Amino acid sequence: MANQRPLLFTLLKPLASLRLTVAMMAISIFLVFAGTVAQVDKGIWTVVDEHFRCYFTWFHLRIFFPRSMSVPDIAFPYLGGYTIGIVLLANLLAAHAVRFKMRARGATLALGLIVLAGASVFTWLLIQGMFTKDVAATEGDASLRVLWRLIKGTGAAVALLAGCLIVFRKRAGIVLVHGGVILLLIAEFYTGYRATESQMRIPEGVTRTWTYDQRSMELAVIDPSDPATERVIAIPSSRLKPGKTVRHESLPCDIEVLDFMRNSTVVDASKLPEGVTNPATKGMGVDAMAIVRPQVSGTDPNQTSDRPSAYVRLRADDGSDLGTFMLTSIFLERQKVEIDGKQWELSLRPKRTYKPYSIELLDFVHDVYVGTDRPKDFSSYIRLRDPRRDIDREVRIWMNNPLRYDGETFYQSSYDGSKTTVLQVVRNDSWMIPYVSCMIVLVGLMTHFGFTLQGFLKRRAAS
Amino acid sequence: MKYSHKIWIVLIPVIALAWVASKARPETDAEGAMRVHEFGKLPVVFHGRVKPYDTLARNSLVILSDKQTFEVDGEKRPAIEWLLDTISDSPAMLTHRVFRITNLQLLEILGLERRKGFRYAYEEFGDRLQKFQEQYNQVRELHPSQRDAYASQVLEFAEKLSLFRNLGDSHLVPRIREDDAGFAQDMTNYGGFLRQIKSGSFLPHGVPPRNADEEWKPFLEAALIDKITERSREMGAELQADSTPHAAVGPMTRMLSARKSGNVTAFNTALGEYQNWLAANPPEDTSRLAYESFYNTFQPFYLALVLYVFAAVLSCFSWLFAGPVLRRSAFWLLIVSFGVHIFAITSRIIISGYPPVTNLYGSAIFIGAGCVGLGLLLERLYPLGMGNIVAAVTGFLTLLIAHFLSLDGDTLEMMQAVLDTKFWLATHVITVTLGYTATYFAGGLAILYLLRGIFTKTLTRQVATSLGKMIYGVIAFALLLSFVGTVLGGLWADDSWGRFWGWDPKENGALIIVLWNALVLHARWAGLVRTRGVAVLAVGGNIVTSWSWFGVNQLGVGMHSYGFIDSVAFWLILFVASQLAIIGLGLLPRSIWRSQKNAVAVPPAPPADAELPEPTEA
Repeated sequence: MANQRPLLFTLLKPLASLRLTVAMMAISIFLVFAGTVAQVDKGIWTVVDEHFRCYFTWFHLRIFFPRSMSVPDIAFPYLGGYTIGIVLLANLLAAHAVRFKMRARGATLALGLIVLAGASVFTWLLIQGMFTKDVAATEGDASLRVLWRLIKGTGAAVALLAGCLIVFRKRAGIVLVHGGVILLLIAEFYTGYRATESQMRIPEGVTRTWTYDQRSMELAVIDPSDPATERVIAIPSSRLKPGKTVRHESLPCDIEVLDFMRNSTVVDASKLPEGVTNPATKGMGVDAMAIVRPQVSGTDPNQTSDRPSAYVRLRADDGSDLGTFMLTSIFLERQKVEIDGKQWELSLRPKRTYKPYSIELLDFVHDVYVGTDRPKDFSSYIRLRDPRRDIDREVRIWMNNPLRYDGETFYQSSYDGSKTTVLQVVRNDSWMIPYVSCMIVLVGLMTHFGFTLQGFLKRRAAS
Repeated sequence: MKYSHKIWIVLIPVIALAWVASKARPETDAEGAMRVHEFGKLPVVFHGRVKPYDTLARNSLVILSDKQTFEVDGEKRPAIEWLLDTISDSPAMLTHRVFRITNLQLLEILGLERRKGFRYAYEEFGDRLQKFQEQYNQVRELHPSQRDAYASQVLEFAEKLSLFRNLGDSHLVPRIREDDAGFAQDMTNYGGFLRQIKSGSFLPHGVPPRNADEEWKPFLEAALIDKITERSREMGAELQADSTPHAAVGPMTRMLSARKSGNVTAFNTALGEYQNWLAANPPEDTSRLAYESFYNTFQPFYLALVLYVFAAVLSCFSWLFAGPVLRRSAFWLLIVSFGVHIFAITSRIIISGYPPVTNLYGSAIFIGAGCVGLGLLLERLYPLGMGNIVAAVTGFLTLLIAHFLSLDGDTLEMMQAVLDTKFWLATHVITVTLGYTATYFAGGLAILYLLRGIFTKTLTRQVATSLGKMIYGVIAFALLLSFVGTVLGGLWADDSWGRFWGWDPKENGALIIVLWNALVLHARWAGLVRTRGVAVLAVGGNIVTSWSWFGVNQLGVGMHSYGFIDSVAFWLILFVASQLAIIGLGLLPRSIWRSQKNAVAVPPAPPADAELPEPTEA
């Protein structure tokens, strides 16, 4: 043991360096800046995946200049958000191991550690959802609701501060701030890996049991032979790479991917300019041709979502060509194809997830300010049914007032005409962490600056 | 200090106060004249907000001509007169020079000569509009990325024309023939016209609802409905309870006709009638109109801006002549203008019912107030004249920015539904704006530190130490405010659509400010920089903050297109360049600084990763 400690310290010391902290901060500032200007051309989620939620990334020189200037097409490698986050995290932890000495000794130290442990457990329970109704629509004013969460966060922060004050004395504030930042970093990692977002589009009077994810598409091969339950084989769009062939035992045929467009539009195939041939030989692609469009930009004020299309060639097991199809998310209809004498249906659609509960839209209300098209209020009156828990209740979901149920949150996000609501469905188990860490950092900073101010005033009084 | 000199400490602020008070007198109509200012207090709904006609007049005139007043034969006239002429279809509406056109190419298309002020009357170009329409059609076809300065001016002028027409069209007094065929024909025509203008754009709604079931209507619509009601009554049709003529339509019609024909008595009588009806049947949300009308005339932000200029001049003099008297009179003058500034912000809160910051304009005036308040506080702690100068300059600059932002129209617009949560506006927006404020303030102090150090001998050891502490302290607060403000923004997003952090441009801009401030503090703790280095980095904070405040808004349009001639982007780049120049100066070796003789001897930097200073060490 006696020998290991110095060794560990020698190893940790460079990792704990403040210079490393400053360097990583500078590196992260540039990453955030570059990732923002990159959104002029690319969709926000493409940027998040390519630059922020990754370990290494490439930036093109041209994103830093007005698009009208001609800039040589040079790209340079850079650290991705995950790498920076991990290094900063390691740096912080190492700094605390090496540099932040516990000032208390003996019984005081023990007491402090016990308080800290208790406070940490309390914080953990808060994050896990203590004091939150298990099955509930969020009621009351947004302000009170958020204030209540922040108060809970303050409770945790003050408890942690008590422990820190005993153990670290005047460094308590800084330790607390760093603790809060670590929590935030962990939450962002967790969100990046685990959180899911999807939508529910429900016309009035319709009951839905599934959500769809606009950001990831799937190629659904559907066996409609049983009218009660369809059998669906879904291929995620990440597998639809041009030149690749998708084979699976449950698929009735091989699917050769000829082209996949992240964003597209459809043109009349009978009016193609000369030299352009329509690759499709069957289905709706005979009349309509999909052409590629630039991705929807993250800084576009009228943001809409990308509409992918694909060209696939179906091959029977014996290798015979069953036709080339144009599949597009622009049209909702499914395309029929006969394979080995059996009817199948094809559809390129947002990825669906089926839920154990159902939501019916009873009524949709949509108000605008007089003489404008600015939305003033929109509300969905829904009916939530869950046979598992014997739940059948009516709930109103409206702007800033989501429904939280079954670990998921349903937000009023948009609408389609006056009779169809679009709900955003989010699952993020770490959603409470930012509320808590915000207050932890605030309390920590105030403590630290309080000590600083105290010292300043003391010296001022002395001089 | 001589007693006779001391009098200025009191005298200057008192003169300023008297000047402010003299401006608080509301405008009144002369005896026997058309009571246009009274008309200006009548309610109208435009862009979703109930406001006095006076506000509509000023905002519209600012959009057309960049000014709140116009001139007739060299004499300044209030906007409401122009509006009345425009909505009453008076012949004068064609001769008022209110269209500001600066693009030479566009002037040529419209057959206009360059003229001082670039303001033109409708009659001067009315016959060339066909030609303009052709140009407009071409430009509109262009993809945004292909539009140049001329194209954007064409589009802007088209918008001005459309606003001008909408004001008139929505207040058209319909002329309907009496005979059956004529009536049917005219109603169909007017109805079609109304539908057309309603679908194309937003119209001012000048006729208030009579009960909870009714809505505000454009005058033309209410007048047409009235005609139908009247007609069916004549024909003996069974009347529904609510289909009586609208009490507002009659007086409005008479006011508009009287203005057109210049009949003072008829106008004033009809106005009185309408006012009586309004007093007896006050529509919702109209209680603050008189106050808003007063606020419009008072123009407190303009007054504060002027006072800040004087305060800045006084502060500079106080340095040149090292006069504590001037410094103290500057301080109290600043207190007066700060008071006016705060009054103006409070008025906006009262009028709109929203917390102070709801748009860029609001953030500019709020950052201004924050900087001035902080400057006064620092001046109190360190009476060296530095808080004064930074307060005066930032107050002036932010109000100037606000003035340019106000040229886009109403600065008190209604909020999009998703933003309509006062709690968040009052917490997140205020905190994050205060974070901007503190970062700018630290940057301002840092500029002062560097410029004084390089160009003057006034950066003495004591001044340098005090300034260094101020910069450090303000950055610390900037970190706290920007962090909490940014996280609160994330929490707003989480509560509204379930995404704490979405990496969108505005969020990223705020995050960069947080990271920057954290970087400055950590660089200081790491011993990588000392006072001068902190100052240089703090100037960098100005760049980072400006980018986040204005730059990210420019990404959507600016980077795509003619962005770099676009005015906001242009000023932003100019500002960034100026800050880079100051940073460059700050990096010059100390040996050539003028203050070098008196400067603090630079102790060797501590080895990196030395034990962190105790927090008591600023």
